[in-house]
Amino acid sequence: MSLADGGLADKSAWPLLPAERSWGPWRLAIALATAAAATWCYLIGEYVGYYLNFFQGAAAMSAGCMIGMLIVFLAAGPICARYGIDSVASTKPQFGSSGWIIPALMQLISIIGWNSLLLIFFAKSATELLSVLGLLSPAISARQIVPGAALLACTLIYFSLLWGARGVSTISKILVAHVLIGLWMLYLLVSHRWPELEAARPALARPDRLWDYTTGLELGISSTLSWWPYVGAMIRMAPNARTAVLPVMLGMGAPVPLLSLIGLAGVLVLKTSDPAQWLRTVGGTPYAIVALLFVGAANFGTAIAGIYSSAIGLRNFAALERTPWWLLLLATIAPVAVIGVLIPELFFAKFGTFLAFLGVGFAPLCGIQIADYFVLRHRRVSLRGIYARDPAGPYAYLHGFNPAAVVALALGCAVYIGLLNPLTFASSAPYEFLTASLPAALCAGVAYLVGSRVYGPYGPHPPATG
Amino acid sequence: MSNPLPPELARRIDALEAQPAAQDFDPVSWLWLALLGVVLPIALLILGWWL
Repeated sequence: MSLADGGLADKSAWPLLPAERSWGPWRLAIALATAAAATWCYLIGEYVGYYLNFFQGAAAMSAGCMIGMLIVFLAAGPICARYGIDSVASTKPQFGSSGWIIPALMQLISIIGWNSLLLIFFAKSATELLSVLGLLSPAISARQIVPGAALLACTLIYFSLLWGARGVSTISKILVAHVLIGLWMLYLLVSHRWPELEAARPALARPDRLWDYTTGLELGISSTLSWWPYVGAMIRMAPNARTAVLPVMLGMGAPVPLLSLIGLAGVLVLKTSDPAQWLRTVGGTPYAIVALLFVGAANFGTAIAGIYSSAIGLRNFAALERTPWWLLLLATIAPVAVIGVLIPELFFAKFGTFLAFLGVGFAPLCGIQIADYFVLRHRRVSLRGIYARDPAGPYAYLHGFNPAAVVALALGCAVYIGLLNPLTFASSAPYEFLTASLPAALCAGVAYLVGSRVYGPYGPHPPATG
Repeated sequence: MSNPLPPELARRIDALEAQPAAQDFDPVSWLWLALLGVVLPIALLILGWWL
């Protein structure tokens, strides 16, 4: 693959030259907002609504999302924006020339999981839309239509992404309107059901008010931390980190809690976070159609960004470095299509378990990256070292793995699970005062710094550049 | 054994490493990050607790 003309640069994991990073603040903000605003917002809002009322839920969730966004941005942002590289490539200084495969697998599994969920949701919305419009015969069940609709969605995404980052940007410009539709939907629910919303009490609230409040905050933080892969893949298209600050914090951090309010309000008042269901209750069939179109657009936009991020991440594997873009895209989207076509209902039922464990890993990962870049290396990394396959390279460590990072990641995960079991939500002190994500990130960062000193010869010793 | 980088990748690395070191964030960027990522969340948490 030749990148000499720069036209293929956005389809590779190689660093982008300044001339190729053409996304200004608005373009970046639109792409990030479209990527962040999807069905997961309702799910985040729904979970928060189990523990907190509307006002407290809105405050805790918004605070959590902004904190999570800050952590993700400080972890992956500076190095991705400085050198035009993706999130996975940015982990090589910490995890090593082979150890980066650990965050790469985390990203791959996370994005495949998220996108499978989004596309199944998309397919369900499309099926329900056909049903509402009377275009679906009663003899045909939704279960028969969903696999075909999921396959159609995968095909549309595939052809959109043949343009590379331009495809993401173009689709984003069209689909960003759904964020406004989402806010209109929120206005409808709040204005029509305000007294009920004000009086609504969360179904699973505990006697300990602080625990509920901290859990709302934790849900906001941990949800936003899983945006880590998207942030790197998008902001590498921006000229520098300064340009990306407001687009990331406001374009990606702010829409998530705003749209999550839809799920929060919905579950508190109507006991369902799905806007397609509650808009039908509030405004009848026309509103349901708008909601279904909204859900479809939201999930489609996010899935496009996710598949793109995942494909760029795969480019870091030497074997896939020169694979044609169309083939790489096919390999990226195939697992999503297989899940969407063969096991949509099973995946839907088990998705919560899958997601819970994913969230555990990103907090320590971010803590390690922040400690490495800002404390250990004083903001200097070797770009050549990131791409070198030299056993004596600066990030070769121990057989390509940095023991300090691997141990710190494991420790951070253990701290998270020790404080909050993500499956049962059973917690241990001092979770209610600290959350689980923040101590996990902090412990992993400190462990990484200590380990880097202890491991001595395997610790970071880069020829600092940049 | 060392594995040489593809020429185009090496060219890109040379070009990027030849650039003068630039700050990731200027003071205004840090201010926005502090406001949106720290001050605003703390204010929201305090406000939400009393609502």
